[in-house]
Amino acid sequence: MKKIMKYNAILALTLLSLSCSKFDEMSKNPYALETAPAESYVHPIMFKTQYNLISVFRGTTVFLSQYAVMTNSEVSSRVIGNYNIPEGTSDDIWTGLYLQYGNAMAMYEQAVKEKNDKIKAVAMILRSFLILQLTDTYGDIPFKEAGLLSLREGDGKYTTRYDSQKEIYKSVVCMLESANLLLSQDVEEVPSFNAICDKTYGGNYEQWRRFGNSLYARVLMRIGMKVIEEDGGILELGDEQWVSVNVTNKLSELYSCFLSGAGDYPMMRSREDRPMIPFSDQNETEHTPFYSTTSGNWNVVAVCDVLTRRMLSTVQKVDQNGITYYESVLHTQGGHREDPRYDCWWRKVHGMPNQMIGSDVTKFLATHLSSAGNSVIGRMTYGRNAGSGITGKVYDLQNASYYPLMQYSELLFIFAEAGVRGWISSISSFGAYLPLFRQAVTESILEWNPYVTAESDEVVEYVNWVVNGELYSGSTFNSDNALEGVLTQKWISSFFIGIESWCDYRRTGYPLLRTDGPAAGNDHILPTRMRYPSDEPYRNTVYYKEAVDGWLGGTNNIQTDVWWAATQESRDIRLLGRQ
Amino acid sequence: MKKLLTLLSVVLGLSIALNAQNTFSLNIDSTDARLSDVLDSFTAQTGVTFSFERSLGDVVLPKVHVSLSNAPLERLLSEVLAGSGIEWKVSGMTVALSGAKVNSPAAQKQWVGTVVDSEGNPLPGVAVFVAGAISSGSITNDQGIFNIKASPEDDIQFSCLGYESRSIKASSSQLKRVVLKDEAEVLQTAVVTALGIKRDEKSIGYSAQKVEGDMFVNSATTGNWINGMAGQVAGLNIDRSSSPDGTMRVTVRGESSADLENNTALFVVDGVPMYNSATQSDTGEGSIYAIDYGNGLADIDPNNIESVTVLKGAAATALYGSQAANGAIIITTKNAESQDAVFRVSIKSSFAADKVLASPDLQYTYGQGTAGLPYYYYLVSGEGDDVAGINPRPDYVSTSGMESWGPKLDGTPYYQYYNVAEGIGGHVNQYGDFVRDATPFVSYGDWFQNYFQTGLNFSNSIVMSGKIGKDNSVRVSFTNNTVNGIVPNSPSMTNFLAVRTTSRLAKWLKMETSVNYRNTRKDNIPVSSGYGSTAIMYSLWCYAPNIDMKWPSFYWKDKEAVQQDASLSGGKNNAYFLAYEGINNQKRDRVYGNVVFNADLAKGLTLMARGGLDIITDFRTQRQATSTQAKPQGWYREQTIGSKQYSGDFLLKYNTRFAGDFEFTGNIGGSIIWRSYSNHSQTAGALNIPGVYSLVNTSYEPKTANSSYVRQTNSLYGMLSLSWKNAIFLDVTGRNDWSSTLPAGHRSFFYPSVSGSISLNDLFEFGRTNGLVNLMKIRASWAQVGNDTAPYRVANYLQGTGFPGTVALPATRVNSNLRPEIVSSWEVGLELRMFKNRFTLDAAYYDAVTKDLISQMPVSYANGVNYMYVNAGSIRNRGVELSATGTLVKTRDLQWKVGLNYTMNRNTVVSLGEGIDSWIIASYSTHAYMIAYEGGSLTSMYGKGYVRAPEGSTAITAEGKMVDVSGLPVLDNQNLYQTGTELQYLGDCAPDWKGGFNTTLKWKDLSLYIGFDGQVGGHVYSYTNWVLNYRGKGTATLEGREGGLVPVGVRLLPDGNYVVNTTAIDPANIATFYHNKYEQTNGEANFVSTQFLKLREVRLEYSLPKKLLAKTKVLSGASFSVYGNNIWCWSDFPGFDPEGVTMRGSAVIPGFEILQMPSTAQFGGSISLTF
Repeated sequence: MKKIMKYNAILALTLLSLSCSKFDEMSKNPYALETAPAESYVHPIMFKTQYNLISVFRGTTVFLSQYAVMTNSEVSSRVIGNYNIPEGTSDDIWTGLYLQYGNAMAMYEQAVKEKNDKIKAVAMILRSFLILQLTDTYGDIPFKEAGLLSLREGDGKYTTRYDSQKEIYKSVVCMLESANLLLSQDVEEVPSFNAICDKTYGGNYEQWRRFGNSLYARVLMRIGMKVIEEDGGILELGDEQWVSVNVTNKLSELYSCFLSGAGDYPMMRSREDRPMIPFSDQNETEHTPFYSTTSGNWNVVAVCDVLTRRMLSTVQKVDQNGITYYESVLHTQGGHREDPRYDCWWRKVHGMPNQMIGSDVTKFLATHLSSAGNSVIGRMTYGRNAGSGITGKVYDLQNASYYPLMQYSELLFIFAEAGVRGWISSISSFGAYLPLFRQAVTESILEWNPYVTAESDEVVEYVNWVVNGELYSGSTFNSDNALEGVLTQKWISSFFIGIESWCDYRRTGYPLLRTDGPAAGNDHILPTRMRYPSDEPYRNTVYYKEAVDGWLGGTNNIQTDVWWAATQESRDIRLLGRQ
Repeated sequence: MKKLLTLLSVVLGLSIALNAQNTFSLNIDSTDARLSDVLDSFTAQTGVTFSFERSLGDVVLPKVHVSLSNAPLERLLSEVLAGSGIEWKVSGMTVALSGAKVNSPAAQKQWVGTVVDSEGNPLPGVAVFVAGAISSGSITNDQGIFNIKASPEDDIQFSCLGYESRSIKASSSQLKRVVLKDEAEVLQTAVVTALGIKRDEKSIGYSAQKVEGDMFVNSATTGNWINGMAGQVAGLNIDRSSSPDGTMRVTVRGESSADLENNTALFVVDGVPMYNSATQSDTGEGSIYAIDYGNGLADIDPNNIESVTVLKGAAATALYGSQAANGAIIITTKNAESQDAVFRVSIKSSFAADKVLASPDLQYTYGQGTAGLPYYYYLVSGEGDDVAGINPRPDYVSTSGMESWGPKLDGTPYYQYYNVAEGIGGHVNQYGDFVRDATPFVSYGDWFQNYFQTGLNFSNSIVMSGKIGKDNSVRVSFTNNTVNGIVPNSPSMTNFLAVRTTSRLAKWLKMETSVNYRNTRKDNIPVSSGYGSTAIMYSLWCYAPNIDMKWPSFYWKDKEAVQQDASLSGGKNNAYFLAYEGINNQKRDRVYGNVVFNADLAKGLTLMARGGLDIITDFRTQRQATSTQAKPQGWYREQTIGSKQYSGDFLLKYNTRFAGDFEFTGNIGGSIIWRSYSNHSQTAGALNIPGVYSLVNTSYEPKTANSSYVRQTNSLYGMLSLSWKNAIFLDVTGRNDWSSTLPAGHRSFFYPSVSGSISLNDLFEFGRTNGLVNLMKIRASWAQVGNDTAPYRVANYLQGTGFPGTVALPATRVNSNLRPEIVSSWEVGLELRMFKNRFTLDAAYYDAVTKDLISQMPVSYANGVNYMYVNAGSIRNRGVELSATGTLVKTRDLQWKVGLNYTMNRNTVVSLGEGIDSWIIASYSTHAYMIAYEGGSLTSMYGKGYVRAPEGSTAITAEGKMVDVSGLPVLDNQNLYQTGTELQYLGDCAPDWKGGFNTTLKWKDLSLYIGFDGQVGGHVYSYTNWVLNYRGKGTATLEGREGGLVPVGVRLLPDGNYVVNTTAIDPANIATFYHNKYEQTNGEANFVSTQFLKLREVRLEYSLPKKLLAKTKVLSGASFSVYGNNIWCWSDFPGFDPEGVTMRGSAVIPGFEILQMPSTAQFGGSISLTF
């Protein structure tokens, strides 16, 4: 019986330990935080966004915008440069940036909780930037219901309704206005936030404000043509605080603030103000997306002659296979012109025609060899110690130490275009916008080439050539072709900037791009948008169908113009490029 | 936790208290000595005094050999008095002896008798021994006659392989003629069910299938005992990672949850649930593929398996609760309790060789290079710069690469691979300079098989087992497996040590212990399969028949060993470089075991109490040499993974008979399982000095990553069993769990089961008397099983990002409202045994519906997360299982048995949750998806297909005839196949049915076993198929390389009409043609059948006859066997093995074959000796 008592003791102990008091403690993850200050979200969002955008540039935009051609031995007719966009190509923007949008929403909600208006304003700028990239890529997308699941309890709502691009732009304008207002208050009292959380501006609110307002200028330029055509230039915002915005007036106001350095909308005033994201091969966290790309894979991207013709002096030739191409005359003739950025981007100088069929690509590569048996076609610069092709200057595009999210030169190009279009009256004459144009080109050069200054001969010479050479519709830069001139140079300057050049093309039709080469697909239309991701129909069935059956007319196609690109002017100019 | 420890210490402490009395040293060595003399010596050495009747002192002890130090008194007494029949009682330092049965030598007699089988034939070679005696017993002679010395009260035991063992009192009249029944006639009645409860098979109302330990005898050399289960059990499915010694995924009765990782069966070893999941070590390149370290299943030594019981349905596993929702596999290990001799030693040695089973249909006609170019040159594009000076002819372009569209392998001289140091591809001229030569462009044969080597497996084991007195037994086994894998430089070694003891501590108390230790040392685990740059198969698929595989084996480009030579693999990592420099090693130790006490508390009342522990430490290092594709500056990681599991459980059982024919059994039990896990790693992301692998040798601060969890489940459960006339049985169970992984409000959950069976032949006369029907049982059950989830899915948290001071959201949303998931199922079954058990049949039909599954549901990224944990969906599995055995021939010398089993499972997605009609279960990039639709099966595969002419399309032929072209592929303006943009249904990855067939033929002491198994239906999306055809490696790509080909299909004219294609593809464009035909995003083009039939095993075994053994005096068993595993596979599958799936992250995901490793055929032999 004694023994039975002993076992009963065990039984009792077992029952006792069934009480679950320790379970609460046990259910906490020791390697995670429950909350963190709003500012601690900033750098990861910035870094991952830029990581995503530069890989999208090198993987997609570089071919879409005809900077480069794909040359590898696996080349098939289904390459982006032929507009036969393989399914899944564009999914990364959606999957990558929406996750960051979720973080930006969490940051925003945390800032609201902290009652910190300034960090809330930074969150609004980040949200604006992210949602713009997304809508510019896909068109109508979830916005009002986006990013909510990341912060709210699972209440059964995990499908997200799509909003029209116009609605999204209206909200973005309100957000950017509000962010500017919130950041204008008590600047002296709260000069910055924790610099460790912000490797871009070191927590400097003033620079965030300038970035936000410069982004505002991008927004206004993006929608300007559409709003003027559709609503006479007035965008009704339908917001209690922000009722409507007159696009051209607002751009004029931004320009005068830019000029004076004063006013309600502080703008970026120099390259120092542009958002730049540091990368490093000295830290695994900060590697570029290309860190481990082998030279073989890196080199499958060859410079396209559409670009070399605008950056270098070239002559038109026909090779033994009957393929027309433009050969750089750089090394063979005196008085050549060379873009000082070219060295930083490309090794070797010859460009390749685009939209060739696969067997022609092989033949072309085999034909264009140097006497040493090596290809003379330009490839992107890479490698920490590799000298680049022409002048031996070192530039490593593969592992650069920073990439700008938005350039200072872009702001200058925006104002120059607004001047050309007559939207800003003070710079609507040729004489007034020409210096702005020159400055924009120069600033872009200085962004990329660390070996020159604005006064260097090669810079001055090149900028003169840009203005006086017969680069635009076969003539020098003048008031008739100024729009083409400004946008062609803006296209060059948008190299490595996410999807910006593709947006400008869809908006304006410039630069004039060929879309009907022998291998061109997609009914000879340069894709007007990217397809929604292939798994979205399964993740968000009802609203996906609503969007596809709605504005897309039934198929997830890449030929429907997004809202701001659907203007007659843009369509007409895009058609010009097809000849 | 504290409470748990307290409990453990009580359980463990008890065992210590019973043993840790005063200890003594004793040394006595005597033969035929009087007891009083022996005890005098005992007292002199220990101070212990004895009291006994005078007559007892005259008892002669035949042999006393004791040499012990620091042993407890009980132990000494049992040693000294063993076999004497004298009982003792200890009281302080005095021992009272009682000799009720005086066993003087005079009382011992010679007993003689004959052993016969049930037909009256004498049985030679039967072991005959006195239970508990030290003497070694005897063996029956040719006439079945035995002669043994024993006292009349002794139990004499008879045992013989293939026959039921018996025990008969020496004085019994039955001893004259002992009848041993053939095992086949004896019902294999005892089945180990949930919680280790042994039940009469006839009494259970659910399906439980047993596999005997001898099925695993060859598994020692196959790396995992589970290989022995293949084709043996209806309803069981094994998915193998194709990596050698890799992860095994075992499912029972289909996929029950949308979370594929959650569908695997629970493994229970000697009553304690075993921690099994794999820990992933990615390669720093994402988790599409990973190094496969295997999962915990391999931690069981196949030599120790007594039997395995598969509990399939929910009713069978309801008492195991959480994690047994998908079936349980109960492993019983061997102990020495029932062995037929006091002491046995057995030794077993096996050796086996592995060869690649088969290669895909590779072409050996064309070499590496680009279609349409008449020359060959081995450098990769972009690398030409570096050797410009050496290039012998200016018009050579870089045309190699990973594809094989190059020139014909017809012996035309080309400048090919050269290596100055090895003198390959050139000669040294008179000035001492190396000059390249053009050499014939020829095929060097099967480049795959030339890379792999013959794998060698050695397995040696020794088992020692003994009985100490009547009441104690010990079994110790040690096994060493040494393996040299088929991938170069991949040796590994495993040691198993297992100790099992049983002891009766008191008349009412029995203790069993089990301790297992496994030590693994793998010197290199190559990343074998998967589409990622450090995987062997990824590299290997870049080679071609024009390469002598000796060439890439010189894998350094420079003398300094800094830069690899990746030129022959088109710039991808050199496969030898990966094997010899990308070393991943592992040192792993696991100890698991338990102590069980069984106490008879009162008549019919027993208590079982058990404590178990399971501790794993795992240290891994991973190297990537400088110049590795993904890690150009080199890379090194150290990772320490630890896990601990403590468990304690008890079961109180009461059994009684009442009202004559009724029997009642009640069980009440409870358990606690506490588990912790931690994973810490440090990574040097760039090496300062190439080739030195140390966390100190890093260019920047090593990166650390840590994770850990603690979880606990407490449970209380009960079972009531009622039976009538031992013919009608009814069980009711209930279990309540409390889990730390669920939110506070849903931590406690209850689930019941009911099952019953009726043994018809016990109720009605079916010809039992004439042996026609030995058993006819029908059974039925209904049950629910609850299941909790993984830790940390219920509270929101933020992650670190790698940037100091910053945070980010995890990509999966947690859910604080998670409820436990409940599986409900019912099943009916029939069991039939006829013709003296020569024919058996077991049939089952089941229908299981899982509801409220906890799943990681894919949600639109627009939510800011891409997954969310939810309770959603309902999935139904229905199926039929049949297994049958028959003894077709049975004579004294010849026996022929066959076994068959059949499994058919149908899976239906009943619902997916509010407003959701589809769900991506798994996917591979955008190439192929496993998507569940309501009404479809969970394992339905979807992908894009060829653009085809819609139904009703017509075309006008050249002859002017109108033909129907519906469904023909539509070619584009370049005459190429096009891939559509919409997903379409491709097929199911689960088979229609699976089956196994085995046969055993025995002739005297020779036996032959042959096992087949296979499946009908089943498909996967195959990357191997893609790479074979896209890269021109397979024979399917030979057509059209010379002269072109006319693609079958139609073209759409601008006016909307179709025209049948008659235009040929230019041979120069043939690569583009095949690229489009087999585009990787074209799921249809790369969706292949996995239907197969395999010759799984052939084993020929010879056991030395007992007669011969008896003559040796020392040997009691000797057998020799030769065997082959995985010998042949009949299948249309284009890759290596239709069963091979790929490890992704920490799980094996069915439905996608991503560059699998070749599977191997194994041939070996073993010798086993027992003394």
